[in-house]
Amino acid sequence: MKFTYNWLKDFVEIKIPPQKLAELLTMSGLEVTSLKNKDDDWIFEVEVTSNRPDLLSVLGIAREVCAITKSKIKMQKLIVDSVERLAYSLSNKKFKINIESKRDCPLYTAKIIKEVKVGPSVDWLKERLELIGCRSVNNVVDITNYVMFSLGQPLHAFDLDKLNGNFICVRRAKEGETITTIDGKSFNLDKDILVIADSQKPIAIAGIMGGKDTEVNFDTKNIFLESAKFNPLLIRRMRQKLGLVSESQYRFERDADIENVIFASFYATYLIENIAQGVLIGSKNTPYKRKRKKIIVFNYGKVDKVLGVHIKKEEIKKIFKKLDFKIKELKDKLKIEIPSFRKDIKEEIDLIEEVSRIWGYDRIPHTFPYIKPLTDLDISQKIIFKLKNLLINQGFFEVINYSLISKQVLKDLKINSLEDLTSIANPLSNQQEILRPLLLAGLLYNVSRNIRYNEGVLVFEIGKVFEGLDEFNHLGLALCGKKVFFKDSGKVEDNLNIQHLKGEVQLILENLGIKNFDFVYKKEPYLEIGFKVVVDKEEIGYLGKVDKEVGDNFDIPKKDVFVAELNLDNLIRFVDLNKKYKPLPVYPIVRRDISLAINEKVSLKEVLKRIKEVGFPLLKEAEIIDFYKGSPIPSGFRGITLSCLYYAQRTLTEEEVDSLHSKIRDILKNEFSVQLR
Amino acid sequence: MFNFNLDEIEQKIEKDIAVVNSLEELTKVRLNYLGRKGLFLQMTSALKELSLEERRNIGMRINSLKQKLEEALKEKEEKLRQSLKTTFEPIFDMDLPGIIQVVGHLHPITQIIEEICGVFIRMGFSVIEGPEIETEYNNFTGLNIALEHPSRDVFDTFYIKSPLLNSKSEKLLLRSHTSPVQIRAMKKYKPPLAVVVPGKVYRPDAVDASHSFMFHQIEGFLVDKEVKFSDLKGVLYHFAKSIFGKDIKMRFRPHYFPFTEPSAEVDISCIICEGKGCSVCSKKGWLEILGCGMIHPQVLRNVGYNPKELQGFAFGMGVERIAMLKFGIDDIRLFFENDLRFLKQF
Repeated sequence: MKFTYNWLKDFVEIKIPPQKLAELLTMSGLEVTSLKNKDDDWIFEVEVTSNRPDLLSVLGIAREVCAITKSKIKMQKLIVDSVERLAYSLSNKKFKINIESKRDCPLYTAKIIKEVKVGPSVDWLKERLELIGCRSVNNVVDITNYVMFSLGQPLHAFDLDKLNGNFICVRRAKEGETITTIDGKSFNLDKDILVIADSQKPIAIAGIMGGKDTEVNFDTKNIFLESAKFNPLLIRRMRQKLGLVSESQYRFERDADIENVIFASFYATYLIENIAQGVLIGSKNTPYKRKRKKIIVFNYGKVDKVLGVHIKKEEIKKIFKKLDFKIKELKDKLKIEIPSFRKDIKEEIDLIEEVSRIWGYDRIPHTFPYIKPLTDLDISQKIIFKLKNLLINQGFFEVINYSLISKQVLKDLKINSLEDLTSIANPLSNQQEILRPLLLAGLLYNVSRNIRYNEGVLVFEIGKVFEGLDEFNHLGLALCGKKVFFKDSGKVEDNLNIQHLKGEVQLILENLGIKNFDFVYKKEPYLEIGFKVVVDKEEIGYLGKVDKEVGDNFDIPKKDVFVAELNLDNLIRFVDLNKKYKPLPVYPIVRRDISLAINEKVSLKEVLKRIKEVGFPLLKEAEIIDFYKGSPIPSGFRGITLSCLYYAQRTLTEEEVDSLHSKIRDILKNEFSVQLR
Repeated sequence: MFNFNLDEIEQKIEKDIAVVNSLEELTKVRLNYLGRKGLFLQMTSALKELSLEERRNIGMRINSLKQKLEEALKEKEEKLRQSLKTTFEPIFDMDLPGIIQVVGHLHPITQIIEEICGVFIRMGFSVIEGPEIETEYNNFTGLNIALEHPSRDVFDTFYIKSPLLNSKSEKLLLRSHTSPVQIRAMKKYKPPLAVVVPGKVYRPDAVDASHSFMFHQIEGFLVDKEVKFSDLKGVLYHFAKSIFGKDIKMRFRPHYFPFTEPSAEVDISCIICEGKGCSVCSKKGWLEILGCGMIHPQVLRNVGYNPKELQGFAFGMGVERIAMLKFGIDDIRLFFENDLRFLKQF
């Protein structure tokens, strides 16, 4: 909403410069978003919040100024005169107004003004409108706009001689009716659209825009001036349906004040008589019931309780009076009558806001409340925090991808079953039509984007995925290219493969205290080699090497990509973050290594399990410390170095270790047919 | 025959040591005198040709000379080592780059969320989260936002379409703000309640440098018997100083939100120009960072609380906006492009 300093000064005494006024308005809730000097006036642009339709007028802003600067409203003499002189104008019996529904149009008023001299506007009117960006049309149209900006009530003037019959009907449009509005656009109308019609056809879209056929131009002699109240919700729906906006629609949708309708009509008539030399010959209002007065009880004590500061009774009363509220004093209370233009004031708390914003938010002190933390929170945040820190220490970058993706992306992943997808009813484009059912697609985009100028890409994401109407937190990992361990050394690096991926997943699980996990072969359309990650027999995710075709679909140039995705909400049930201290060894640990070649078909897990069984209790640990394939190891075999650690709460003798160790070697030979090397 | 002039030798030792300039030269001098073929060994082996008495006298002199020599050598060595430390001698070429273990980076949004939540956690707030698919009630009606009212227009929303929904079921949507977690938390827990809620929110805005259809918010609220607007000011002032620096200025500007009353927008003095006016703050000197207010009594009624007994405050902020201000980022899209060259900077 725009207005000018001089315009505002017509309505209220202002003794402060425009810059100071802008600051005061901003700090009382009407934010001045720009202030520009033009000629000898200042143009203010303010952001009016949706709860304050009354501020969509210079008069409304004048009332605010009055309250915040403790000034006085000066109603223009012109307005007072107009109301006094025209209040008793005779009603015109010849002209009929028919309102189809009081709900759609609670009040309609008409003025018939004849012998109007339509022409260019007088300078002051033209300049004022142009300063706030409103194009000057002719004196009559300009007057209706001027009154709307001044008082907040939209008006419309029709060319009386272009109306068919002495009859105006406010009704829903009939199927098949059309209208061309004054901006030249044509609309097909239906029963959802309220129109103003003459005896034959619609002549205006009610509250939004008048029709081209009946517009007032330089040839117009007699006019029909409308001032009315339309249902805000109806105007909202019409705006949405027609996609048509106007200054008038904006005010009606925000609920223009019904008490202003007749007043604005008088004022506009008076201006037309004075500026365009018309003569009022008839006036007509539909009957309407005045709303019951809104009375709210205000307790002084509530101010201290809500704001945490004491404001003197006298100051509070003064604020209410300046805001045009009528007050009646009771003991420790006020009975306050709310003026009809303040639709935002509904209960006591709204009055407290009025007091606080006019008195000044900046004068409210800073205090600190008593705070009691919650204790029974779930551990998922703790786990996510732990995982994120673990992964960045492993060299991974955290990424955040969009949760909305296109259906095409799933096709690129070769996922065909698209039935139970959750989609968006009103997407902006097909790029955001579904909720992602897995993190993979985003991660592949990240690899594709970054692998071009990085030797290696290691990324992870923790975020929601969607299945039906449920949502789950997933952790996704993607690895591609080389892992460089030391920056600027160039010496230590590894070509990433599936073993690295397995290691990362293993590290994640072990870090969460999960021991009983396994990787089981599984086919997934997007994986060339795939495994499911199983914890206590429950599938909690997958890992594997991305299918070549899928890699091509994501424009990843001839590089292997390794990905894993875990359902954290499922995983969380197996997490054990309790740690238990084990005493440090006090006696020497004896280590014996075994190098061997073992058939690829034999499970190393089984081997380790068996030798731990045999070696119990002296064998404390057995682990694979080296791994090799290729010559001289025969094909179909793998070369392994096993490290065995023996320990007891005493010094072990060479003989007892040797005898146990050779027993283990025998078992390896006999039960697993390994070749010892 | 013992033909060594001990006085001359003494002088020569002094001279030899005096001219030495490096540890290598000093070692040479030492070897000349004390080595296996050194002068002192030659002298002691020549002693046997002397009479017993002479042997004793000269022997004693030789010994004291040797002691003197050793002391002088030691002293010189110390001196040389000292000077080595001060003079420039390339032991390690510091022009070479340090070798650094490669680590990853947390996303800047995560870093800001952790920083902000950390401030509130230290004040005693608890972090809770809520679902991204929400009911229309929790997102709007429960928060006193009328479904068909201009006040809803700032919250354009993505609605959910699913075969699991029929015309009778309540409408579901992607939450357009984190405030619905207020409704969930107030229904689930009993006051006193001090909570912060970080999370993703969605609005159908066309993507450009300052708009994104997905972004992050942090919501916070406190409900108790005697929570006041002045408490809200105290808590948020502490927050702003912790995040933007202790010299920051702050102002509360009255505003309108359907779910708070009184409501305010909070500005901080521009961190770029320190309030003088620049392009970032559009010459105003102030930057809007969050919206807040006292929880509207209707919201309390909606969750079954009695507004005569309980009061609360709530606030909400956009994480991307704060990250952009703090890091000087001018395009919101960078957060979701996940370019490693971008992520590496944080």
